[in-house]
Order: sequence, then structure tokens, then C-alpha cells
Amino acid sequence: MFTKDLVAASATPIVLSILNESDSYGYAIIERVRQCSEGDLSWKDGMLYPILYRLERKGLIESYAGSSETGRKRKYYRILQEGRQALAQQRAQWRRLNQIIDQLETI
Amino acid sequence: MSTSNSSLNDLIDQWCKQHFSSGCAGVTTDRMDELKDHLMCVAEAQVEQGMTESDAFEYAVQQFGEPAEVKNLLLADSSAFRRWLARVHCGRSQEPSGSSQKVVWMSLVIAGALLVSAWLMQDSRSYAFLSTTLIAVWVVIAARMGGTREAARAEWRWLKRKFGF
Repeated sequence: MFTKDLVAASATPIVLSILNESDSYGYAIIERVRQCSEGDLSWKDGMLYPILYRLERKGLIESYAGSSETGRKRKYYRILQEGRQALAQQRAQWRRLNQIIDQLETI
Repeated sequence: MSTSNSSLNDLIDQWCKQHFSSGCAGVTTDRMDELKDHLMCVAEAQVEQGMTESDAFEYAVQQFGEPAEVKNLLLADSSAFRRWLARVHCGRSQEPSGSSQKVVWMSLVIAGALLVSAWLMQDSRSYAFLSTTLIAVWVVIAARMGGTREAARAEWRWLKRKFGF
């Protein structure tokens, strides 16, 4: 439904928002995206990982080792204070963009 | 979900090795484990819904997307040193593996030790003994290091390409 550019642009605030709810891991993040967007946002699963690693390198999130219910090694991610600030900024920007588009539509 | 699912495990392991672990062009071990865990989660969810293991594996791989594209994105986001390693070792834009990095770092340490000892030691016989020992230590550690064989093969291929023999 969404264009590739829009999907790419929205990836960071979406991932940060999900981690702002609670710590999570790759598969669960993808599932949360699908659930929230009711299938409209179709990410290829593999594309999530470069985003996660970039956010981690920027110091917005951090990873830690954990395990699944069955004992398999699993990497979890948590949002950091800088990530929360970045998320607040991005949300404000998206809201403003939305306002601009709405305004132009009604003219 | 069950992890005793050995055929799914094998399929996923093989697929990950094929696409993400080709010598120095592979991703690091912890990233590989993370990708495997992801594929297992997707496939296990499908198996729980009644899909066969091989179909579930195909589904998980399809959902994952194009592995080469993911690898390139991972490289684009990696450090300048890792990109340099990839260029030197593979001659293309891929992410070097942990093994290649270990081999390079260890070689640098051994080379450094040889240089320092050559500078400090006046006696040529003692130096010859020390340098032989250091090289032997390097060979033994490299031979015992996991993934070294694949890294060495990739480096050998690169040398052959570079110097045309």
C-alpha cells in the first residue's frame, strides 16, 4: 500500500515506537508492525536488521543477550534515553507533515 | 514452539551459511545467530499452523527477502575498517566475517611482535629462534580458529584474482 520511500522513511520512528512500548526482538518487532498496520506496511523481514544495527550504532537503542522460551539464544533490543528523544522529535515532525498535507488538501 | 526441530534447524543453518557466511564476505557470528533465530520463529509459527517443515522453511526465506540486498545494507552501515576489509579480502561490497577479522588482527599482532623483537634483540640467533616460535604460534592458533579455513580460501581466491595465477 505504501511506497518504498515512505516505508523507508517511517521505519525508524516505527521501530523506536515499538521499543518504547517494551524491549523486543527482531521477529516480534516485525509481527508488531504487521499487527499495527493490518498488513498495509509490508516489510521484508531481513530489512529490519540493518535498521536495528544502525539505531544501535547511533546510540538510540542497545541490544542484550537473552533466550527464547525454548532456550534458544536471542538478541533483545531496548530503547535508550537518546532514542526516546529522537522518537519525540520524529513524531513531532510526522505530525507537522501530516498537518501540512491536510491543510493543502482543504485549500 | 520447539527447538528439537532438527530438519528445520539444518535447512536454516545451511541457508544462512550459504548466503551470509561465504568466507570473508560473511556476517559476524552473533548477527548470523540472530538471523537464524528470526527464520526459526517464522518457520515454527507456520509449522504450528500445519505447514510441513520444508514449506515453512520456504515461507520463512521468502518473507526474509533478498539476502544479498540485506548483506549490502549491513555493509553500508558497518565501520570504515570493516568495509576496507571487505574490499581487500573479497574485492566487492560485502561484510567481512568475524573469522577474517580475527585472522587480520592476529596477523597484525604477530607482525608487530616480530618488528619489536627485531628492534630490541641484538643477537641474530635468538631473534631467529623467537621469530620461528612466533610464526609457529600464529600457524597453530590460526589452524585452531573456527572459520579460518573458509577465510583463508577466500583470501587465496582474492590473491589469485589480484595477481592472476
